[in-house]
Amino acid sequence: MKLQIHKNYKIKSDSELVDLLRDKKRISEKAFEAIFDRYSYNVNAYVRTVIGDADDSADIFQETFIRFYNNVRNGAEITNLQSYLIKISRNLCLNYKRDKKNNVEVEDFHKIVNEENFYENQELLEIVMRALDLMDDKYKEAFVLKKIDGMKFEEVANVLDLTLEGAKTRVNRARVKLLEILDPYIKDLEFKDK
Amino acid sequence: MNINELILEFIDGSSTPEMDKSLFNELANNEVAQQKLKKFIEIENSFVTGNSYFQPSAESVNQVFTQLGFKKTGFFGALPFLQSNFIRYSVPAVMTTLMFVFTYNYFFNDDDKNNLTNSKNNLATFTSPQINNVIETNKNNDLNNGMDKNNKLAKINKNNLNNNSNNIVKYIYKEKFVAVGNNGNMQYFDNKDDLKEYFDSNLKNETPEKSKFSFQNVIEINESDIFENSLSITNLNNYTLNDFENKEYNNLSLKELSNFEFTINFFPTFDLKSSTMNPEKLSSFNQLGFNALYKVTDKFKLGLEIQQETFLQKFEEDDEFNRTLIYTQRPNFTNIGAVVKYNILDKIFVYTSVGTNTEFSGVYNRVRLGREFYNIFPLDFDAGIEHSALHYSFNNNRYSSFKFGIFFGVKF
Repeated sequence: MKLQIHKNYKIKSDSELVDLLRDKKRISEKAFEAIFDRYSYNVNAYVRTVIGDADDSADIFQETFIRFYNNVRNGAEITNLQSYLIKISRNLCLNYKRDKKNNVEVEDFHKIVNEENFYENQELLEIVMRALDLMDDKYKEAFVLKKIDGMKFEEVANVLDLTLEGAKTRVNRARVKLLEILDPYIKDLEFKDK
Repeated sequence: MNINELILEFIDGSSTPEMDKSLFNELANNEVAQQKLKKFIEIENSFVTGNSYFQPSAESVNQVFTQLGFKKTGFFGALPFLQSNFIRYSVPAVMTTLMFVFTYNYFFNDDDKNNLTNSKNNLATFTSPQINNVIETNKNNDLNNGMDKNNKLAKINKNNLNNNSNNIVKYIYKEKFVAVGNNGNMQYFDNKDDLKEYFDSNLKNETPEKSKFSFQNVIEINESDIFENSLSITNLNNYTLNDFENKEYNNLSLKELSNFEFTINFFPTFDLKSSTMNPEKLSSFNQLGFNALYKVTDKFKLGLEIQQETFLQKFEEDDEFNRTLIYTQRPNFTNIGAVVKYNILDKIFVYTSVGTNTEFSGVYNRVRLGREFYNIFPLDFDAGIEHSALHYSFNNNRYSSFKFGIFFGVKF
């Protein structure tokens, strides 16, 4: 009888889980679930931020994991699992964006936030997400990878195919831009807290 | 390097000592820089890892797993159902009902309270085949009349006994021991040593006939059988005096002494949706279950069940070309649920249960109507009919699967 010593997939490393994905279906299913639990938040944060629209981002989120699973089963080699997943979702987002144009302008943002008294009813994160929509995708995605997905600048550079310095510059520009957009609302929030 | 870069390097923890020095100098003299630092930090803090804002929706999660032919375990697998109104309202309703029934039976129903306190040690032990004959002969008349219902003790009418027989009736009732001589007198004892002393004194001091008292042919009679006039003699053993003393508690079976009831069930059932669909592999324990119940009263029991079974599931969705795809599957489920068993008549009971499977992919409920059978081969059994249902959701649509069948349980 074969003794199964260790069945806790959640504490296995990324590379162990990827290897198990190629195993028979029962094991593959458990390994996939462990990977999903580990990275679904990061993938979803990236897709939600880049795409904006909830329905469309849900489709891309789902497609990311389905492609990932099929790729691994078809023999894809993976060195950095999180970067690999983000790259899949990034390609899907780029395809999606190709036919879409971000038509939200800064003036529109201020109008929406002011008219809806947005800052009074929503968390700062909601306002930040709206503000991110105003930015170019290249800044937006750099920002989300670094600040939401918690990647190192090296990993951001790898995913976005930039130099380390280029990745750093892009992230920091996004942060400054974000501050400029949000400046009046952060003042309001401070006032409200007091 | 401008103030923005200095602040961001500082926040990232990658600033050099020189950068820190420049930043602190700037902050000391520049109120705008101070405000900027605070605002940067505030924005950064809005992105706390684990923030629910970026958690994928339960529907998205289930879509991923469904499309890959997987099942999501844990909270997300259950979430669509937990969000539905059914579970929101039915669970509190079931819990409230259980609490009400429990409270009523435990605190207000005196009959059941008596049954509860008397349910232990309800065995009467008779020491003579003649008494058996008397009971058999008179069970519809004299025994019933002679029964002391207040004390729940059966009395033997002296007139019905054979005068030549050596009759001693011994009851074990609650924690009292009762001896009844052939003159019909009853003696109560708090412990069996006192009882034994009584017997010993009888043997020593009474007439020669009484010295022939023996403990042979001990017959166990269930108290409830006496009350119902449906006496059944279940066991006839030969004991010596010593054996009797040693075995008197052994004669009380576990199920009579215990407040717990354990049953293994076999329940062949049939889906109410026609289908030829079968699981790829049936569980080895399919249609087998186990339940453990606590006797709150003689009529009312609460407990848990675990059952291995299948339900036929049929659900549908529309694809991107507006075609309706119909999915049919019959997974093996391990269902765990809470059970209420209530005897609506003496041996007729209703058994209801509600619970979920180990993967939280739905909620099931089951209703059984059955009869209890005692002392056959010499086991106790439950048998009857059952109806069960599994409720689940897919793509925000709710579905239910129903099945009907019979069940057969062995109690131990």
